[in-house]
Amino acid sequence: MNLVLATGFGFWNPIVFILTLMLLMIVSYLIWRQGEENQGEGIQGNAFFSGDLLMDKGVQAQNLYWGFTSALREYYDWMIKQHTGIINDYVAWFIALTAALLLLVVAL
Amino acid sequence: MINSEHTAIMLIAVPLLGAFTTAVFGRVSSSLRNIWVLAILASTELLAVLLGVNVLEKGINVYALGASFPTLTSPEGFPVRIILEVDAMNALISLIACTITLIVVVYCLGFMRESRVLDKAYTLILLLLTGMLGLTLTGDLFNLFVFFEVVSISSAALIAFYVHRGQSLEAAFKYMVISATGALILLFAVAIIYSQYNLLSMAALAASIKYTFLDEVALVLLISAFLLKAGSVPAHMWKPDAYGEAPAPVAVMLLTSALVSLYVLFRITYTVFNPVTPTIGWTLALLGVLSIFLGVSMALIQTKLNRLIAYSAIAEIGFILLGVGSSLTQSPHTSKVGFNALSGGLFHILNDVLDLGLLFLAAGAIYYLTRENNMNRLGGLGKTHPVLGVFFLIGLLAVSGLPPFNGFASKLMIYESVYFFNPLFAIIGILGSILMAAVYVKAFYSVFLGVFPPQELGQIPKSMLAAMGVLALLILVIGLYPATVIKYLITPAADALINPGDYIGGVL
Repeated sequence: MNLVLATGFGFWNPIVFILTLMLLMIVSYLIWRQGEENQGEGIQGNAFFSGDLLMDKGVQAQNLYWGFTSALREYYDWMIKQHTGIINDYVAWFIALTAALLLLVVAL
Repeated sequence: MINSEHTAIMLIAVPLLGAFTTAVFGRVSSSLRNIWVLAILASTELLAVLLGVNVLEKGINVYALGASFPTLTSPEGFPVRIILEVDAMNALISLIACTITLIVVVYCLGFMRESRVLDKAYTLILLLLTGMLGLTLTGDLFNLFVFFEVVSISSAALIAFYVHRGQSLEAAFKYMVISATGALILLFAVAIIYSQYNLLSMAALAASIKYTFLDEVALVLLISAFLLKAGSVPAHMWKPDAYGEAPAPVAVMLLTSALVSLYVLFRITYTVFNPVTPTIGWTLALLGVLSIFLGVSMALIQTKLNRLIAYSAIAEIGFILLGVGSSLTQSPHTSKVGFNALSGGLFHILNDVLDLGLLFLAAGAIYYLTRENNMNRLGGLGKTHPVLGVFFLIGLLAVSGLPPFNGFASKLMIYESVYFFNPLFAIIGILGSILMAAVYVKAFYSVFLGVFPPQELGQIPKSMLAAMGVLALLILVIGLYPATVIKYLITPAADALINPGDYIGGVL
């Protein structure tokens, strides 16, 4: 079986990648083994979430990427507004797509 | 031994026969029904393999329905019969459809074992497969419409599987309206073409097409209808509703039907209307980029797992459109960039259905265990069900295009080729992949890590694990041997697509 995928401008060999990855993992493991066994025990602090002690339920899915979604708030507000869940709007978007394609392909 | 001349029609007839006889076997016993459905699907899979081997060895396989012998396509030089025409491209798609359906039904043996409507569910799944295979194999435009309707009706009924839930019925209703709109547009396009040429045979049309104003209108209508069915932006909104409310195995079938729709779109643009204007290529690539960006950005804010995967499926459709759209602007007959873009796009069809299929099935297993789809209320499953966690992780890494999984190889081919076409599109594609990884890291963290769920969880049935295991294995094998898959499956398919002369010669 051919293992090398020629992509036209380069190549991709997954076996070389896996061997390299394994080598790196072995090196990482050897470095990790040099550490002291009991280092860290008893010195861990409490986990905090936005300045508050982490509650039992932990960090939830809706909390993740808060910064990203907050920075793109205007985009997300607009996007959520477009996804109304109303079938009339779905059909309207489809008609808009068809009209735009007709203009691009036929009229231009 | 099956006569190879009849393989193409058998591939449609066997699941159709299975669909209408399943209920009869169900009246006798549920075990007998399960064995019957599996036997039908195993036979269909075998036929798809035989057809593929036959096409690779002997070239295009043509079957004229109602003719005194199967290759009599043009009595008195005029192709009036309903024709099935199979080259390496549609042989590959039919093999994918049959394989996924078989895996889905094995999964259903465990997932739906307590359901009292399994007879109906299996009937609809087999009908959906019949519709997909019909769409894939037909060489006739009107039959394209007929099978489009078969897919729509069976899909809508399957989306409403949880009939006691209002949201499922609403999703099915929306899907039905959207599909009916697409079907009407498709029928209108077929009428425009027929009114000009008195032809419905795709091969005969490809030889006669004159690129008149009306031809271009028909082409746009056909593209719109199949973009809608595939769920490209901005006609994507039905997808999270349908995928989110349907049972997980049904979502996998819907995903497969979306990819079959993309195949039809490529057949129309590459074969029937060849060569299309570069504007079509640019438009498809642009829609691909928009689908990638919108899909991943909307997936990031979802809290329901199925809807999250549905939005990522929109992004994955975008990668395929980006690759194939770019190739349409590059003349893949002569340009290596164009051919690689097309090959990458077609390879991604295969990878997409495996990666997202595994994720949907894993999401189904999570729902089976917890009866919960909201990621805010899930967590800690990695400790109780590590095998499920590994399956989800494989799907996550593959769909995000991380090496050495299968998604990486196809995305690499797309990125490289698209970079030569438009560097900005390639950069947006890569950013989309990074965001995709972020989306699934969130899903994995929320479901498998974190706080242990309070309730006692059961075990996942072996059939569900087996189905997910097969998909995971295929992902790993294709990831390790992408060059072999490209050589034996993708390159012949891409060659078949870019050489309409062979397709025309099969009939005329």
